[in-house]
Amino acid sequence: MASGAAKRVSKSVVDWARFAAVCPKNQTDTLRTVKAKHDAFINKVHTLPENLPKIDFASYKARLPDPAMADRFEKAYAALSIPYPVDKANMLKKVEEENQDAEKRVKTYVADVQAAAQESKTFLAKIDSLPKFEEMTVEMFNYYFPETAFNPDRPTFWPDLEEYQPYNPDFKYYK
Amino acid sequence: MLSAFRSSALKSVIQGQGAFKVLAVVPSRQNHHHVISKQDRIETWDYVNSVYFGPERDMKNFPNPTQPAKHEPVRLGIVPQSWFDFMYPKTGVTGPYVLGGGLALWMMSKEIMVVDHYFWEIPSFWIMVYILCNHKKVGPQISKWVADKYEVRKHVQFTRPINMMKDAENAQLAKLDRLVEETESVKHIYQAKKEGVEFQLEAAYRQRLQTAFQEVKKRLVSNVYNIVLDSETLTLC
Repeated sequence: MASGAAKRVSKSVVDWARFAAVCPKNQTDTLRTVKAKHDAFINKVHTLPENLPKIDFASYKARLPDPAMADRFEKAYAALSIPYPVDKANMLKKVEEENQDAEKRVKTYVADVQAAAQESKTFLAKIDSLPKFEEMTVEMFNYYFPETAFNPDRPTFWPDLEEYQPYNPDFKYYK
Repeated sequence: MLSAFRSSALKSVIQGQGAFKVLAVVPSRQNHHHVISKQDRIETWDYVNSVYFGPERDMKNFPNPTQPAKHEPVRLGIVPQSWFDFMYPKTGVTGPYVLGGGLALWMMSKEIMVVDHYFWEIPSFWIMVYILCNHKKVGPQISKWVADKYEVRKHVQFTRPINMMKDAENAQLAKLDRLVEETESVKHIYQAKKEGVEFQLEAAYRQRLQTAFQEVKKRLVSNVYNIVLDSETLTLC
């Protein structure tokens, strides 16, 4: 930020409504504190004058013991040039760097998420590829869902539920 | 085909252990300790589909067997209409009736069919079937009873677990969409931080303006009133 090239700001362009909508549910408190700080900055800016306030030298000239002093002050005041503050700690550069870093991570994250979404979509398509129940024989059903088929190596008593089978370690109906 | 069926799918079930991973629900006889991964399911289904509906399956000459909803049309309750249609070109409308009646008479005259107490099974069974099939209420009630049982079984064995799997996948997709949407907050954070820095700089600048103004005014007013002023008193003037 060159001193002299004054980038004046007076309004916030952050879309807080949208920000709140996309904020993860467990971070809304953090967002609230961020907004509060942001609002504090804006309020501080708004309580202070935007430009150098004017001084009515004419009235003072009339009342001063030394009128020439009023002219001197007027000239000096008009010639006053206040330098815009310099970002000594280079915060803006840090913010930019953080942003680049975050965007890179967002890219890989979104790629991973989309790969997982693709998996889910293919699974849904595979479910739709199953034949209708009316068209399935019991043989077909047992091939499609092998875990439901009768297993001669591990025969079960009715009602064929795990917890009622004697080989189950949790079986407790007789001991 | 049984031998061609990929043994790994059944083998894991038979071994009863951990080749299978986390699962979506299908009603099973061996549910709790054997969880099947999505990948395993996809492979099983792909293979079974390729056998039952693949290129080696002749769907034209051997279509998938289905249970028709209604029986073929019958005359007199038990005699298929197709027999009447078969005989119509040669013997006309009365042909099958004449054949049936004549056959019965001939069998009785030759004492092949004797009218003893076993004989009455046939007419009584015939009349029972006729009444059950043609009565307005009986047929629909029975078929509804059977259909309800079938629907329950279908729901429990097939529809409900499949829908549970689908719902889980759709919920997962919605969650993933939301995650992608949330990454947009990175842009907003960047803007907010940038603005934070800019507003602080702006505040410092305005503070400098304010200080300059106050210092000049202080000196002027103190010269007018010939007293020493500080910033606090200045605000009252």
